[in-house]
Amino acid sequence: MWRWLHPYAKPEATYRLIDKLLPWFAALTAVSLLVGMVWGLAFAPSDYQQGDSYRIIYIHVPSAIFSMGAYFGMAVMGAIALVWQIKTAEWSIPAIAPVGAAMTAIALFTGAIWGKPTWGTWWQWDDARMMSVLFMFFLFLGYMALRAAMDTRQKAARAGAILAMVGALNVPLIKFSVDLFTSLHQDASVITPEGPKMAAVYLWPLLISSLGHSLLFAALVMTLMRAEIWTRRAAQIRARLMTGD
Amino acid sequence: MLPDFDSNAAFIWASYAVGLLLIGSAMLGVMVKARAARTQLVRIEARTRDQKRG
Repeated sequence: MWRWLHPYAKPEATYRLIDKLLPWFAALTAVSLLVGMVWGLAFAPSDYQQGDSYRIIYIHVPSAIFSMGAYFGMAVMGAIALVWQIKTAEWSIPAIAPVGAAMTAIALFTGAIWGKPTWGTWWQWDDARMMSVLFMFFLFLGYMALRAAMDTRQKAARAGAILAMVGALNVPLIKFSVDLFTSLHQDASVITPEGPKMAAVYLWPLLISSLGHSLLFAALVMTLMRAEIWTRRAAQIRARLMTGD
Repeated sequence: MLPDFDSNAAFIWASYAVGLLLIGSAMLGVMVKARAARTQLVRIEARTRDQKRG
């Protein structure tokens, strides 16, 4: 089942794939983000309870979903890198971390701005959803700081992979925090066992905006992975030059 | 074309402005990093070629 993935354990194959996919992802990101946001802002009808403030959903929810997806992706890649020692999995983690941190920051800021007209407050320090997302933001920053603090690439990769895996325990806590604890945040309305609870007029622009965010996320991660491959290649050549091979 | 967003306009525009600013910053940061890595590789490859030529 996973055999088609095996060639991409080699950096050369991953590099060629990124080169092919990146222009398409970049173009589709621009189109879908534009369509999703303009549809959500200009053409979706007002909500009978929240009025127009619900329109923040088209930027808040996709960034929140992909911030969790990013951290989960880091944990999966960390496990693959630790167990199978696959270089491309190892290199993908530092590529995912800054993009995930940016997505989390967007979710936190837009959530706070949405909170003011909806709940009457920007932030609630004892709210499980808000605090678990803030904790995930610090995990992303902590991962980047930990990698930067290590003196060798091997140590950095290992410590980073372990932190990514341990921190992933926070992801289900974020998802289920609104069910398990008292929270100002509403219950899940998009990803639920029964399917989305939203009417189609609100859901379609949200799905298109989410597609845009997912493509943006993938394009940024691929760009950083390609940069990592260039950096490693430069380091290899430099090492050869120094040893005179 | 756009609805006037009644009393929530400031919140809606602020959230989109912050979101797009952060997306733009992330894109800029990623492109700067990628460009630096590419430049570094091109330079070192040129140095290798020069050394081979003697």
